[in-house]
Parts: sequence; C-alpha cells; structure tokens
Amino acid sequence: MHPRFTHRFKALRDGFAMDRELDAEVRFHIEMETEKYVRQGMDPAAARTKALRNFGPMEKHKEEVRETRGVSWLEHLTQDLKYGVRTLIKSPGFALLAIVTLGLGIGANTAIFSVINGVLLKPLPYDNGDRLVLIQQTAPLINRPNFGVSINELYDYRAQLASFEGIVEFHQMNFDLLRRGEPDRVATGVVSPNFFDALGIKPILGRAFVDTDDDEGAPAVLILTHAYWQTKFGGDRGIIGQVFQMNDRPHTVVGVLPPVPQYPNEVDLYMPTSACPFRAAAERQLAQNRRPFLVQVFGLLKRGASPATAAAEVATVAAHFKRDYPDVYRPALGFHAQTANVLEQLTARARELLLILLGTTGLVLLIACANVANLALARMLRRDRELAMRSALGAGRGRLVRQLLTESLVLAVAGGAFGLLFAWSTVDMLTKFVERFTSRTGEIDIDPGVLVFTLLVSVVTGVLFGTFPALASRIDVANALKSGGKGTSNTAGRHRLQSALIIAQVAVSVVLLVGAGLLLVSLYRLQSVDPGFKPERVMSAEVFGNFTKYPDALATRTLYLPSARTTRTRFRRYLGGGDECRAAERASARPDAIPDSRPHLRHAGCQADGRCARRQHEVLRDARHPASSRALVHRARS
Amino acid sequence: MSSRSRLDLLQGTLDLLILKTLALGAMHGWGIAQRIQQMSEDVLRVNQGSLYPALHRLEAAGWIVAEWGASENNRQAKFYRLTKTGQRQLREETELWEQMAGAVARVLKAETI
Repeated sequence: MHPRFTHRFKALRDGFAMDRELDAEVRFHIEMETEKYVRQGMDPAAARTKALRNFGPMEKHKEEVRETRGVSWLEHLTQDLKYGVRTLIKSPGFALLAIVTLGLGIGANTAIFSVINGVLLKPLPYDNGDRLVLIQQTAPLINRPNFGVSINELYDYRAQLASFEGIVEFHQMNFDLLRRGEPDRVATGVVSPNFFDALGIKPILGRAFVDTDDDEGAPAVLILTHAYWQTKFGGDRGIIGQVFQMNDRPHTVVGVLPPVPQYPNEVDLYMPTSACPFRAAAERQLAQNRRPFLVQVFGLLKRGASPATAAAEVATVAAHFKRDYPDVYRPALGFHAQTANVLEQLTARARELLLILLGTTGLVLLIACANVANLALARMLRRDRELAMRSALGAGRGRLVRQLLTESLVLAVAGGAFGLLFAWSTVDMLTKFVERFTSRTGEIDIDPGVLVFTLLVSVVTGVLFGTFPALASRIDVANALKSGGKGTSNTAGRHRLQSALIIAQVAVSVVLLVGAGLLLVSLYRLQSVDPGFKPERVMSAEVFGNFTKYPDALATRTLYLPSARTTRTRFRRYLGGGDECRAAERASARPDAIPDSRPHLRHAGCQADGRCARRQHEVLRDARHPASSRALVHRARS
Repeated sequence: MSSRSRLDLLQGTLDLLILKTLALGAMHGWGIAQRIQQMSEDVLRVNQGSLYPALHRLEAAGWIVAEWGASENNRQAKFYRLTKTGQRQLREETELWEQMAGAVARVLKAETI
C-alpha cells in the first residue's frame, strides 16, 4: 500500500492516539530544551519559560501537524458538531425559534415536493408507461377541449394507425353488484380486452381479458382490483370463478389485479365492453350513428415509433373523418385530433398549480432564512468575546467560519427534521387538495427521494443563513478582548448586513403578499358569483338506479315528496342517440294539489355535448355522474 | 529571533535539512533542531514549532518513518529515520538546491548589471 495512504488510514483509525503521541513528543522537546538552558546555568522556571517561548504558539503548531494528516476535517467536523450542539443547547430560546422557523419553511417545501415527486416526477407505474399516449379529439370552436372519442372513431383509429401496437378504450360506469342479494355500488372500468396488456399489468390471480370475452353475447366476466378484492373479499383466493349478479346478468370473476395505481380512474373492478349494457346497446347502432357513445382512448406506441409520427397519423385519420362525414364533423366545431402524453395529460391541471406552490414555499423558506440569519447576527454580537478568544488561541479565520457554518448546519438539519414531521402531518391534507386537479395522487409519499430533497434543502438553507454570521465574524481580537465582552468590533459592517437582510425580507414578503392578495380577490369574486338561483332552500339528492329498469317511477315518487314545494328531477344515462335527459316538473305549490295533477314527464332538450339544456336555473352542474339521477327538491317553507 | 545573523528557514529548505540530518542517523525532533543549528555553526536556527509539522509532513510523504525509543537521557522519545525513498528524495533535492544556489551565486557575482 502507498505510504501516504497507510499514513492517512492510520490517522483516521486512531486520530486520538496520534494526538497523544504528538503531545508526548512536544513535551519531550520542551523538556530537552529546558534542560539545555538549565545546564547553561539558568533557573529551571526561567529555562522552561524560555523553552516554551522558543517553541512558539504550541496549539497552532499542533494544529498544523494535525492538518498534515489530511483527515483533520473529519475531526474538526465532529469537534464543531459537538461544540455547535453544546452552544445551541446553551441558548435554547434562539435554537428553538430558529428550528421552528426553518422547520416550517423546510416542511412546507418538503410537503409540496413530495406531491410534485409523486404526481409529476415519478414515471407511470406500468411496464409500458412511457409508450402510452392518449388520443384526444377536440372541438375548440364550441368550447369542447375534450370532445371524446366514439366507438366508430375508435375502430377507425385501430384500423388505420400504423405506429401503435395496441389501442384501448376505457369508460367508467357505476353498477350494482349483488352479493347474496346485498347490492354493492361498484365503480366499474369498462375496457377493451387488450387494456391490461397495453398497460403491461398482469393479474396476480386468474387471467386477463381475452378477445373472446368481448364477443357479442359472450358470458360476462369481471376482473377485480386488488383493493376491492382485499376490502370486500378479504383477499379470498377462491374468488376466481365466483358468480355475481350485475345488470340482471350473471358475471364471473376471472382475475384479480396486482396492487397498482389505476389509470385513468380508480375503480373497483373491470369488465369487457360487451358486458356493459350501454356500450353494447351503442354497438348495435354504429351504422346509424357516427358518435353514439364516447369513451377514452389511449394507445401503446410500437417500440421505436416516434411520438411525433404517431401524432401526425392521428391528425391525418381525423382529417379523413371530416372529409368522409362532413355532416357530423361540421366546420363550426373546429374538430381535430391530437395525441398527448398520458402522464402529462393526467397531471396537466395540477402542474402549474404545484409549481406555483413550490415557488411560494420557496419564497417562504427564503424569508425564514433571512429571519434566522438576522437572529444569528444579533446573537453574534454577544459572541464577539468568545470568537476573539478562540482566534487568540490560534484558530484561523477559516476555522472560525467553518465553526459558525457547522453551527448553522446543525440548526438547519434540526429544522429539517422538524420540517419532515410537519410535512408528514400535512401531506395528507395537501393530497386531498391536489386530488381536485389530478387523479394521480396515489403515489404521493415521503419516500427516499423526498428525504434526499429535504436534506439538500436543509443543507442549502444552513449555508444560506449561516454565511451571514460567518461573514460578520471578522474580529478585531485586541479590541474585543479589551472591551470585556461588550461587542464593539465591526459593527458598521454588521449593521449593513442586517439592513440588507431586512430589505430582502421585506421585498420577498411584498411579492408573497401581492400573490396571496390576488388569490384572495379571485376567491372572493368566485364566491360572490351570482349562481342565478337562491340556494338557501334548495336540496339536491342523488339516487342510484338500476339501469336495466328505466327509473321513471323514481321521478314520479320524488314529485310526491310532501315537504317539497317544487321538485325537478333529471335523469342522465348513456344510451344511444346521445345523452338523454328527462326532466320531471311539478310546479304546483301545495302538496294537497298532487293527487289530481299527474306529473307530466317530458323530454328535455339535450345539447350535442350531453348536457341538458339549462332551464330555470338548474344547479345540476356536476350531474355528470353517468349512473345517477339527481333530484332537485325545492323544500317547502316550514 | 529578529537577528539577521540567525536566519529563519524557508519552508522547502527545512525539509531538505531535516532529510540531510536524518541521513546521518535516526534522531528525535529536538535533536534534529540542535544538530541543524550546530552544523550551520549557529547560523541557521530552526523555528522549533514548525519543525513538527514538517516532520509529520515528511512522514506522511513516506520519506521518513518514526519509532519510539529511549533517548540519550533514557526518556521515551520519538525517533525519525530516513527511508529508501527518503534517501532518493534527499539526493534529488540536494541536486536541485545546488543548481539553484549555483545559479543565484552566478547572478550575484556578475560584474555588471
């Protein structure tokens, strides 16, 4: 082994032993020198003094020796760490204030970053996640950024796109699954049989869907998600082959999925398209209707196929639609198609928001830094004497700066630990908030990546606010010692630093305040928007119905609610010929008038986009729930 | 120590002198300082404090090794000894020094400037 290396290794292994050795060596030297002078006839005490003077500043020389070992930084670090912790414990007020201030700043950043990490940075958790693209049709001229893809269009894409290995469809329905007569409302993903292959998901039990599952009249089959299997069936491995009633038909469970997050929506179970009564009904109308039923479509790019080529192909096919069916794709729609990265699409609405939040918390952390730096500067005033003493004892300026920086780092890392606790306790709240903007929140977690981020932020924070007191550590030793602890040194420079910090703090605060103010104003405006009705005595109720029996009866019943003054019931279902809405109205004022006034059901006009015409201030804006009927009940005055 | 007659040593020179001193036999730190002073007839005075960093530097470089042993007055002392690479280093540095000293001397002896 190279001698330099062995030397260093030895030094690292037994630094303290080497220190003792050095002490002994120096002691021997001083003794020899003293004896020399004693032999020359000097008084022993004087001889010793002379020997010591000849040697010069002992600690400085010892320090130089230690530095030749090349590992002294490690010792310095442990020394500084110990010392830093000790000084901080001695001023608990300052330490606590700094740790809490930094902790809140770091914690906010950690929480936001854990969301960004889970939503924006992590790749899709599928084998083929990076090759998935969404096929999107838009009609911007009628303000429909998402026009949906119809079954006919899907089939055309499947036939004509060359860059894709597989093109799959998805739509979500809510059905009742009957377990021994007990209904269970299940969110059901209705997918084409190649859906799981395209995503790269293999069932952990049973099988995936196969093409024959999708044949017309094929026995209906189900694949359960892991979560549903666990919660409703306790992970029973005998689930495969069990039969449940759904939509008045027997459905057989053929598989269970592994515990992976689901896209595009989290559902309870999956069925092939042939098993969905509405999708199947639409299938029979394909010839008469170009756009009878809308689904989500995404495709798996062939290996090596470029996304740009794929996008061009999709655009070309869509252009052919317009040419071949000018009645359907009227120029007034501005219809066209494009591809979108699935991950980007899933997170598009959240991206900007999250980045703004990260920027905001970054500014908050900056303010926290400036605050703590100011505190530390003020504290430096009282430490002049200590620092002067240390530099008189042979500590170089670099050494002092390092000491102060280490102290700051100890503070910052402690703040980081506190921040982690803070982030950990708030990330759920934040996740709930972000759920409004993206479905991709299942992977938000404080994982190793986030921990590294926190550590990094803590260290940067420590250096950032630690630099200021360290810069101010230039000390006039003689003066500081003479003044007996009343800090006098370099006050002008320190004042300038403090002023600069305060100016920066105020500047950043103003930016934040303006931003927050704007947000508040928007919120206020949003809340004072006139919805066009008086919401005080309006109640909205949602009733799940069995799709195979069209729930006219329900409409009639709700009209007879005795406490209601007027009711309005609206139905939505996904059936051929576009969405159909029915509105039942009873405008009569008094319950006793009901028996003879048979409520009349009538078809309400439906717009092409599937939304019922808004009449008389309907509030049913979120009635897009495909399987629900909503009754809007105007309660009677009590 | 401000006397001009007793020169403080330049850094690299001290290393060279230590190596030379040790070429004459193993010695402890204090002895090295004394020997340099004696051999230079009291002209060169080693800054005693900077002797030890130099010794440790040379040890780290592998040119000398240290061993504890009994001193002339029977006390434990750390003795430094030249290694093989140290001997080579001494030869090289001596050569370098002579070249430089000769060059400086030639410049100083030049008749006209």
